[in-house]
Amino acid sequence: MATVKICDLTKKFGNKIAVDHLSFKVSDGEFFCILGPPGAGKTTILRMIAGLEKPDEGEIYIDDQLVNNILPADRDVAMTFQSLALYPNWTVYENIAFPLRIRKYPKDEIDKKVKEVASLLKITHLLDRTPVLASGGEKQRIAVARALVRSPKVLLLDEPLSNIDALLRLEMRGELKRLQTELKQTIIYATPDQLEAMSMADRIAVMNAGKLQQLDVPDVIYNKPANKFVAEYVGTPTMNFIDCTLTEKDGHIFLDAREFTLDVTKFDEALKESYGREVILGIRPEHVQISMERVKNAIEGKVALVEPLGRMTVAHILISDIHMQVICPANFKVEYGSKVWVKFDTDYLHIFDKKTGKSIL
Amino acid sequence: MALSKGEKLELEELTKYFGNFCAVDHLTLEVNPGEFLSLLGPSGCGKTTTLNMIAGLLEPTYGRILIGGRDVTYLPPIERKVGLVFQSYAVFPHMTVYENLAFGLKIRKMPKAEIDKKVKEVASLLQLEDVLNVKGGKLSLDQTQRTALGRAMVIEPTFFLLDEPLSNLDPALRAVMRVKLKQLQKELAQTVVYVTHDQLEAMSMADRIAVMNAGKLQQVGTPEEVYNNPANKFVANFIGSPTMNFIDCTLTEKDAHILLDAEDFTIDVTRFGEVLKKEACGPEVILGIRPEHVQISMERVKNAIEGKVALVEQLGTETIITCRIGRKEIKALMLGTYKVSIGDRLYLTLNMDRLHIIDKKTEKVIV
Repeated sequence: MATVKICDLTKKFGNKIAVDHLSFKVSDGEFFCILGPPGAGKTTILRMIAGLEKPDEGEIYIDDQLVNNILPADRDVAMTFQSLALYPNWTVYENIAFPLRIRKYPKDEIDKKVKEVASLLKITHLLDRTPVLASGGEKQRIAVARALVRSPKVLLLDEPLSNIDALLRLEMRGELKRLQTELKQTIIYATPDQLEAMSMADRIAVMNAGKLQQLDVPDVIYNKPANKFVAEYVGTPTMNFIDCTLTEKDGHIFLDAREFTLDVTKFDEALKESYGREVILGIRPEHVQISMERVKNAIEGKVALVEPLGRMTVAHILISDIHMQVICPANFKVEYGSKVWVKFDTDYLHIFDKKTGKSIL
Repeated sequence: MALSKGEKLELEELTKYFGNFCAVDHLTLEVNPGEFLSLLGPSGCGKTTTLNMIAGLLEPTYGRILIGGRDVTYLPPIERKVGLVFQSYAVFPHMTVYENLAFGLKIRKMPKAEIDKKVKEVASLLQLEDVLNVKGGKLSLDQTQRTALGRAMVIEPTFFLLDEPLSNLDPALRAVMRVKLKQLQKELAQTVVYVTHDQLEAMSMADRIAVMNAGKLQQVGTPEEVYNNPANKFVANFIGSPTMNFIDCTLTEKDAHILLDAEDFTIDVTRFGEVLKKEACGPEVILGIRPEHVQISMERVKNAIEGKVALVEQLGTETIITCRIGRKEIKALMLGTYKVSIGDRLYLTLNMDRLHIIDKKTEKVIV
């Protein structure tokens, strides 16, 4: 068990900055997610912590010890790779035992530890087989078992669920979280999948193009995104964004989207400094109400597409050329092309500066 | 462009053996003109084999394929006029969009002037005019996808076969592309057979879904039908996320009441008595209930099952709570952020109108 601290970490590949002055601290026993699209720098961060990549600038501490110049093998960090990298012609037992064997553990201790971790990950029945015939989820568990077997200070997982079936991914998500809660193992988990991050992480570091966008608990990342990137990346269906101008008229503040205006006088304090500016209105699909009749203060639109997803229906509405997604109840029936009226729940409104993308509200 | 409206596709007892292995087993299926049908199933279910037989890349062992009423079972691929779009798109990176679109017509030895006319028509339909001179390798994903579709369209196919065309995209982009693809299909009124293992994709785009497993057709129906009235345990489990809860139970009778006995709790299912008596093969059944049909309360409620929180997954829009009841576990889905901690005591109520009872032997859904 350990803490990890990185300060001002920077890594360049040629002219490209892969990780840009990144700092964060991972607590002992924390499930810490690094979330971001391909190219965000996730894998590079993990590789630097593991010691497989040398940072150009900045420090890495494990348990308050500076490890920049410590060899990977001596950092007591375990990492699983996206490709899993299991040895196909060894048995599962031999695969899991490998990290202990090269560290010259006595045979009976190896045996005890392998069996312990196998039972924990429910792969005991596979120990005598080769991993070739194992299912995607089983292979995943074998790789995690191999990383866990020597109880490393820090476990680094690089997109461990990205190669498996959707159904199994869901199950593994729960299992991994449960395992971590039981073992209190410090985990740093890189993923492009926001649902994985939201469901498992104690805290999430959202990255884009090498830069940290926001670091917080899932609840805050979702409900108080720091900028437009985070707001757009987290949550599905994605948040709706509408270009607006903030205007003032007769002591009232309006968001002017040309097709409609929205009175936002109640957010006066927060918006004061942004009058006259170009902004982006953001509202999540679950915070828009849809109605088949004209309602006061509602905006008229047309149904462009209806997606019945089982437990809910997602309606795509066109307000002139503005495209919005709205979450409706499962039994919501509406025809393609019909007229509807939408209303925003203004308590859940977000406003972003158009230039910087930063959240104003 | 004289884009032909989609034609009807019929599969009759389509069967394919590889040696002793039956990859597709007597598949009978109709796809109506202009319909978006999704062929859904896990890897190895036979969906790609089916697709290859329709395209003419594989010869069936048994059965027939009809396009617009015409038997095409033994016609070569080029005469079937099927627009194929692969998972990888296979847009040539060194050719311009124009050359990519023209490719299928060139190999069919069409005169140059006609090729030019067709390519421009399709490009205008798919809004690719601005990138006609851009090399395939330089396109955005959205443009690449439209180019792949366009290349299938220029040959004026009678219908489209799409093989997991979105599976290489990251999740956010996949959602956008889903909408665009569906809109395009609606506008062009094309018949589409869409192969995927992603139930969400099938649910969101398809008019009807054909669920396959182990070479066999499990159920065909609208997204609502397969979701609300699954035919068997496989469909119930495969569709919906988070997955349906399944709990092994025994049917017992006591004082004229019929009970589902799950050992750690019992549920009164007297209201389903008639059907159960008629349809159940034996007392061994599986209770199935979707996580959104489980209500949670922190206070004791009448007829509620007492449990403890085993796991909490906050997803923003919703929260998944896994509850432990004795040795059983039930997942509940709550809207928004629901604050509970591991170990908290809570009370579960199952929505009886949405309960499924599945025969353990046949795995058929009884209720």
